[in-house]
Amino acid sequence: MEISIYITYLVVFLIFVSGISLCLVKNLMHAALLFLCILLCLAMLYIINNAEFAAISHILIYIGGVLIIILFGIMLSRMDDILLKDKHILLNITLLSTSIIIFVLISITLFKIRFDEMFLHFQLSSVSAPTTNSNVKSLAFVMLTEYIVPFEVSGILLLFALIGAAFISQNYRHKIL
Amino acid sequence: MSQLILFLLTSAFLFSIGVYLVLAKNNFIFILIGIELMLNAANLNLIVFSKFNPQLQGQIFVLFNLLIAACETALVLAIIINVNKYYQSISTEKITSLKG
Repeated sequence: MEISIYITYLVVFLIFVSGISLCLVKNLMHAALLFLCILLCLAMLYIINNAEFAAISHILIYIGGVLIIILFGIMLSRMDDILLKDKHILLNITLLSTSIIIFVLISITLFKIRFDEMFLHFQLSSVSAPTTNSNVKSLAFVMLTEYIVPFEVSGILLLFALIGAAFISQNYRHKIL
Repeated sequence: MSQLILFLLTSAFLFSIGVYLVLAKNNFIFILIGIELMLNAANLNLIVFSKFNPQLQGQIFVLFNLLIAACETALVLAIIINVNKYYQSISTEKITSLKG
């Protein structure tokens, strides 16, 4: 129990550090690596929150798919854009304060909500205790009975998206754009 | 209780970082990373609140979100490669006209 709390603090600290450095970094490749760090920490948080299946599929899809596609995009684009220039300093300060205001507003709202009244019947003190039984089995059961139609529709959506991506990025040498 | 607030603050932080990246960077791939960060913030919220729900609706929704994110990334990267072929750049400053 104690160890899981320490691991949570460490992971959240890592997310904050790599998020702030993601805002400051100029090199696209370094940004992709910081994004990888954030994704791994998020998978860790999912496991801490008893969502093992979501954590594993998060790692498979994001790190195995999305990050590889982003790296390919970096490698296939022009090299002189990798080191990007900043916008004007006043504009940058305005945008930074915009995102800070968003963060502060969400935080104030979170601290105003009484979560312990909302989840009164759920025994919030035992939340961080690890459960022995995994929920993969019940997840699979719900996925293939109650949510079977969205599951199949999302498979078709993925197929269409991949066909569309392959169609868009094909070589147009013999056609007029 | 404090852990719940900690996770939600992390999610808010990821969302605001994503907003900053989308607004401030002038590179398409940075903007894509920002959008993915915002999606991940929503996913973290769903996972955290799904712990209180024995019917696991939050985790199901996270799985569909992951799939949408994968589709979106593939399409955006295809568009980025095409734009790079046409304008020889992926900076948002240099792309100033639609349809050539």
